[in-house]
Amino acid sequence: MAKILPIKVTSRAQLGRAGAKSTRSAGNIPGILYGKKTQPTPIQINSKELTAVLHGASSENVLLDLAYTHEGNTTSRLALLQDVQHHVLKDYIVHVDLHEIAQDEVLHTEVPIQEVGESIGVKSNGGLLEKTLRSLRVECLPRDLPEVITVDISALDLDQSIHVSDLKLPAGVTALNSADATVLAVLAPAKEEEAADEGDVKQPEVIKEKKVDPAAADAKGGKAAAKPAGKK
Amino acid sequence: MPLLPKRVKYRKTQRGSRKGFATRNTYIAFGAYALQALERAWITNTQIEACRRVISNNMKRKGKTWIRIFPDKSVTARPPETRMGKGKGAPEYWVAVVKPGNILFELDGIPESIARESMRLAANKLPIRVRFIKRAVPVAAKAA
Repeated sequence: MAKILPIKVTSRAQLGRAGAKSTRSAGNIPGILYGKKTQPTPIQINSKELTAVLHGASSENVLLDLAYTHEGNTTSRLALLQDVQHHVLKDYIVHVDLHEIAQDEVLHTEVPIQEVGESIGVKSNGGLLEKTLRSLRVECLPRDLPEVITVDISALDLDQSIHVSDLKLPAGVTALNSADATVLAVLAPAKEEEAADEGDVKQPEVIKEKKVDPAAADAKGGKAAAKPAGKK
Repeated sequence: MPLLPKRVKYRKTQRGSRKGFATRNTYIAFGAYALQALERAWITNTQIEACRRVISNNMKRKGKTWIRIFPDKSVTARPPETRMGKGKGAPEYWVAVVKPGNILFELDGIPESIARESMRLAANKLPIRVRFIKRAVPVAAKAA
């Protein structure tokens, strides 16, 4: 089962782009807390604390035990880390979305799929392990949320695959992906076709509107053809 | 053969803007390893093809490659020793607009050392700085 990680969260008064920027420069990460029974509330989390919490977690969709402080009062809340936005180049966290949930409320989230062992098809027959689905969308209670879903692929030979229906899910966890969706497949080694000669590089075809020939339209008869002729 | 659109609505395009960071095509979607752009550029279809070839040769036909950019913008040029005027030149080559953060290539099904070497060779064919990145592996499985 997934661990519930404790973290301190405080309400945020500085809003908008400038507010978020000043929050970041003060060493905090701006975020938002929302839920079925919670009004969307701007929050901030200490960036070092969040990085430490996420370090060692199997994915970014983790359960958090929030110590939420607002105007000096601290309350305990359970939330799912719904979304984490990273800087495109520098990788630091820019913003987080926290989804408040109740212990008895069913949640929907993604759990990473991790293969265990080495497939016969890859090891002995030179196949390629294709990972079509890297995370599974699941529905469960917070206490049943698994950290990862493991798949044993050691018996997987060439041209064989594992589907969502083949996954062994922990009790209380339901997969929301289609049951016949492929998770992993071992493909036969592909024969690469050599590229064609570079001699004549063709130019793309230009899409043009088709002109309606009035004579052809009259020959067909019908009301649709008669209408544009009447307009003229 | 270098990549090229099959059909286009207009043969000639305006230059457009290349400012800002990439907002799409910024994360690894298919493979385990990727090459990410750190600068902005117009990457030509011949440069993409050169990268594809060098990656394919180094991987010795193992694994799988994804090209995440497509040259859908035509660049025109005037014939040499032509006077100004008389309209825009003819389409000369095709480019993909790349901004910092864009994923260019992805690889899977090979060891990391081969992926790194393939990407290093591909980076030599590009006019911009790039970096090698890899997909995060779940920690619980790492320990197993």
